[in-house]
Amino acid sequence: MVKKWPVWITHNFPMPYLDNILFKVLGVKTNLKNCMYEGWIDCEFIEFGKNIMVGVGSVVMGAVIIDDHLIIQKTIIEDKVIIGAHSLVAPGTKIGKGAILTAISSTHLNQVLEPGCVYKGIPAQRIGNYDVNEKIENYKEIFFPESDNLDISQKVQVDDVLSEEKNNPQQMNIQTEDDGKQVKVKFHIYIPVIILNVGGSFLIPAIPFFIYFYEILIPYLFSTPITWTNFVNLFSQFLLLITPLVFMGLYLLHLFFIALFTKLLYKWTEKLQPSKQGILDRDFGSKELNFYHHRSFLLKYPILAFSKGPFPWLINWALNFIGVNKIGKGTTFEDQFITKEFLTTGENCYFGQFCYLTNHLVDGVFGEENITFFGVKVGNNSILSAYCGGFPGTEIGENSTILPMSATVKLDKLGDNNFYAGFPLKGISKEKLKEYLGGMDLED
Amino acid sequence: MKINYNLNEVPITTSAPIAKRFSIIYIFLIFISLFPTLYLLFTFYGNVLRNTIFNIMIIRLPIDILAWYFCFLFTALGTGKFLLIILELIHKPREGIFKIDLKDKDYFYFCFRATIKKFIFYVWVTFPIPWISNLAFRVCGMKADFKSTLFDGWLDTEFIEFGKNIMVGQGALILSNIIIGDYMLLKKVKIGDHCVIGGYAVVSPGTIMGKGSVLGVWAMTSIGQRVERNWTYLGYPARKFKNNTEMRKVNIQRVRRIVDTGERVEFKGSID
Repeated sequence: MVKKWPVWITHNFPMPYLDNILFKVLGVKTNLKNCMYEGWIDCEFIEFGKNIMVGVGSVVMGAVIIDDHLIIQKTIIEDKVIIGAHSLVAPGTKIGKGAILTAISSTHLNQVLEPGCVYKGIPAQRIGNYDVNEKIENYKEIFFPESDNLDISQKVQVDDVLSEEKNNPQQMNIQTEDDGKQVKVKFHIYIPVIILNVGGSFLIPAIPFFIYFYEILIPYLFSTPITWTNFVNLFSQFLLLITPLVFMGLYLLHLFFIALFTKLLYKWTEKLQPSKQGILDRDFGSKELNFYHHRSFLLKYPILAFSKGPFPWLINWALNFIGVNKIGKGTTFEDQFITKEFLTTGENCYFGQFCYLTNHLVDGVFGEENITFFGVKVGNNSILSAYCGGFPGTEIGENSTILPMSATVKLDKLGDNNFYAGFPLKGISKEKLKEYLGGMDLED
Repeated sequence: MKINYNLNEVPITTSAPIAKRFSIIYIFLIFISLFPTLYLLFTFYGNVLRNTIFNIMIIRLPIDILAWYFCFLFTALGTGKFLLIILELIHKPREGIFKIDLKDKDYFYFCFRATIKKFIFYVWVTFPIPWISNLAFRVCGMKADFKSTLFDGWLDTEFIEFGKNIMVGQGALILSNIIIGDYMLLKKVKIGDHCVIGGYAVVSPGTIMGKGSVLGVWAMTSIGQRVERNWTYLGYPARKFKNNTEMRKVNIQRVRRIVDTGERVEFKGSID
């Protein structure tokens, strides 16, 4: 996992081209013309051709964890392949030249996608061929029909669809997840919180920073004329060596203060209005909902700072320290939105790329909606692969594995020692699992 | 030439590849926006603290840090906007289908604009007060009000019209451009008032979402689809699921599904 760290850093740095160079440096067979900085790509056991495009939020894997096995298979992607947004390429997949995997689809292990074909679905199935010599005029006819510009009745319809007319408040029962914050954005509360949390956490590290920078670094290293002898000098060398360590230490101190301030503020909100699971009415102005929003806002910055910073593994400590979630020992989080409250995990759990465990859902349309607000519980040694979902109220037993691209429905309960897949989630038999693994046996 | 699959379910990627030559703009933008910030940072010690750390003015630091942050954000936005205005004068953005080739003028300028906007939105969306990014959306010429939650998803930065009170779920995509083989399609997306877009949903170019419509989790619209007003759509490609007006009186179920056996039991209490 040594390679992961530089990839992580470059991935979070706003310079897309850097990723390509890094992959090349790390020895992944790739071409600098590829476009692959918007998804997540494992940094080993992957071979790329030329002119590949990987869509936003796609995952290309070189290894997968299933039960207590780590399966490593070389993924080969040939020239001119297009991988759609939110798609998943499982380890061992071979994608032929010019093949296309559409959005929201996933391959299974050791699947072979034939050259020049279009694949769709979970698992991916062939839906047709892609014609390389397709003329631009054909597309123009399909997507920009002339009737679009001429037909007045159609335009009226569009206006009607978008019109501002008042509609009755409605309610429905479909799951959409979101941060429920809107309508009344309380900037007068948020801005002091941010000043304390962001600014305040810098205050104490800033004092040693200024002392170190102006009292030690500048007089001893930079103010004297820079000559070769200056750098050979033992004290200068010592300073040069120690500088990164000092900055790193100060950064860690800053992170610690973020966690500390958040903890205090969280305790305070808890005193004013204890956080409670249940189904909330999304009625703006109710105290319960307001505090739900405040807490959600409060926890946003620390989670962002920890999980997107250069030390992502500290998030476990931070969540336990703030006291919102209980994270067991040895649990790993990959790049994902982390649940803000009421997440309980056992020991040695694994949460893959873009895995989403949520504790809140917005049920209903604007006007009369509810927020379902329940925690998620995950047992010991459970594995959630890439793009797995756990909606509020899910309970996952011990030693279970959820295969990639599947999600639970709210308030589901999963058993122990089993394999699950699909949306909504279902248990799968040994044969199905073997099929998914491309004919491999887990016992081997 | 025959197209032997439904073009409404075409392959999708997004955000055209950013060419190597545009990296220089990135460096330029980062440099320009860091410049005033660093200037303020390094004069703080001399000007405000008067060369000693044990000064009462150190209390100002938290507010100053935020001010530096804002300084960075606004310089990035201002410089970006300035470049965008110049680009718009040189070549007006337009909808259409273009070949992926830097010799194609439309495509070239699209990449140019995308590069600039990518940087702006990267720095704005990661700011701890996420609603602030709506301001950036407004400055860059898209309608967006301050009550919408636009910060959890990945939104394209051109040819999108937002209504009021939109909710965009975690990791949702709203795309106004996609890549179809060798071509890139750019078409305007319109999203009405009070729309809800579920987590990890994909909105394709040309989609028109009516007022109060809902797109479920993992759903995806096809190119140019019309999502009717007050309907919930699910699936890939998105199909009508339920009319929202019919579901007014539905009680929220508290039923727990036990996946191993398929039983349904009533759910009480909470999860620790």
